Amino acid sequence: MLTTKNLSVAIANKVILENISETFEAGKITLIIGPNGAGKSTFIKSICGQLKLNQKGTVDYDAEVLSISELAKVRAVLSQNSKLNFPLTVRDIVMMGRYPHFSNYPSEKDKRACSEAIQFFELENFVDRNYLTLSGGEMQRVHFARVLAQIWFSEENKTRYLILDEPLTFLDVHFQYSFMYKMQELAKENNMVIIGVLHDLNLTAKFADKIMLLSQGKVIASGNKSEVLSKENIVEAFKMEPKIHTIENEIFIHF
Amino acid sequence: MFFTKRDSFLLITLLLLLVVVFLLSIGLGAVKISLDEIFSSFSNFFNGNEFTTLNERIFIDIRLPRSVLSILVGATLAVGGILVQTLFRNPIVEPGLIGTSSGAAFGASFFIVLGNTFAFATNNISLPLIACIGGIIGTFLVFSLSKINGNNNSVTVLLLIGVAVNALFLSGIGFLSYIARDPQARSITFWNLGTLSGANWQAVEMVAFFSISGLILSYFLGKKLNALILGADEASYLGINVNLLKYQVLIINVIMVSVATSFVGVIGFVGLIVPHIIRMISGSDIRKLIIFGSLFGAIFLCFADLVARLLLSPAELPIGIVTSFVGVPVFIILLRKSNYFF
Repeated sequence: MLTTKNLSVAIANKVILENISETFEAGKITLIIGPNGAGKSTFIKSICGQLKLNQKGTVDYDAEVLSISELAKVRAVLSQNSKLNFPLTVRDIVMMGRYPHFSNYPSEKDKRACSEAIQFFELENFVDRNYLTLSGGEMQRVHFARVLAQIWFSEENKTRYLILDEPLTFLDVHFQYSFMYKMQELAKENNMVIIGVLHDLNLTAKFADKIMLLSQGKVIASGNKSEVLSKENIVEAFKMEPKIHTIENEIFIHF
Repeated sequence: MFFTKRDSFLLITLLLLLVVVFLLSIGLGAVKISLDEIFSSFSNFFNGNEFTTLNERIFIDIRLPRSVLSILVGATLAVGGILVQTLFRNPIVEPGLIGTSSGAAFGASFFIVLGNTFAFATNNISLPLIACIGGIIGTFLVFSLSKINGNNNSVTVLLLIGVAVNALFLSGIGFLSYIARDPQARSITFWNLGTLSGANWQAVEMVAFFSISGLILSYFLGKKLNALILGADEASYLGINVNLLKYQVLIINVIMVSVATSFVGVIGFVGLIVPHIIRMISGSDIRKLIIFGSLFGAIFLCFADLVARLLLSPAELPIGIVTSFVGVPVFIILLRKSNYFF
């Protein structure tokens, strides 16, 4: 479980996040939505310890204090845009995900984690390709494999955390859905804490176990989808009147 | 690190090339030294006997330290390039762009022109010492100026500050050349284009100590530096203390490159070209780059020095002219031919 208490972030005297107290449970997907500039990425960076100098409040991983090298063994983070300026093969990049687990040479276990993560994201045909020659969607899937290889095996049965900042960018419809189904599978079968930022409200409604709606640095609503995805909340956050349909317990939103 | 068959082949090729270039370098020059003379000078040297011929003396006191120094400096500059390119995640960076070389050049020019005026207690390491201090000051000037409000700024800001600081040092060097007497101005020109003619065993010892320790330390930072290719945030998610790593790499680099530059002057392009050529062949794994890059840098500079000595023999060209003249066209051809993407 990941818990934040009164988490606030201010950068250069501008308040970006204000008093966020939330819990993110294991085995569940929590999706964060909100308009541009709401503070979604800042929240992700903040719970990942990148803004320690600018933040107040606490972020706790299972109530334990872990060093960054210990944390790297159980927590993987996908950033919004991982850009690479040098040619590397897909295999090399995925292996970087195992860096926290070995000091000089990868073990058999590390190699297995890599090849299984590569299979999981259907990248077998790309392993020897130069990353810089891939398409945007393919690059994104390579980073999925890298990030998942990092926490592929559980360490002494500790909770694993997967934090994703806009993972669906660059993906076509097929891979958007297949990625989200895979996240569902991971959360349920491996009891992972999965936190993600998404823009698509329908995908959010379909896959989130919990939704956190951010606007102007504050949590407008958080909870299950029928609570959060109400007309009032959406108008307040996105300044647009939605049409909401509920068909067989599934929520569909369009504008 | 996995050494593939291709890597082993590359390693053996580079080692053989290095041996060949090194042998050519100690054999050829304004004075031709035969193999017999090389052996006899070694045996005299190690048995503590007097040298029997002038050639033996030339070999031990001039030729050999010069060849060894070219190898050490070549390796250092190449690895310096690899380190800063990785640190800034930017393929166009080289030590010359972040103030190290121009700072060293300014220090050297200052000493050449005004050293006597200020009556420094001079001996043969005063010039390198002041050049080295100049290089360190130049680099830290660029870094401290590119920090605004205590935050590390973008690479773009850092490179722009680097360009500005370089221009400042260059104008300083220009001014010093302007007020210099003719022979001093000539020394400045030579120093700014690099020359190994001042090589001696003392220089070899100093450069060897700092270069070899720098190379070994950088190799052991290799895995962390690989992660840094992904970006600073990503590296920290992989459990790396990125700020510490940055300082370690910077300090290793600035000391290693400043010491090397201080004895031989500014030698351009090695730090830029060698890493890219090696990347085209062996990929971007930093540990491989450091091994292959240091070998290739050594070969390249040893060869360039040979050309610099032979082309207008018995006169000598500054080595920077050769490295640019040979290196740049080769580099451009390779870049245009290979499918090396950015």
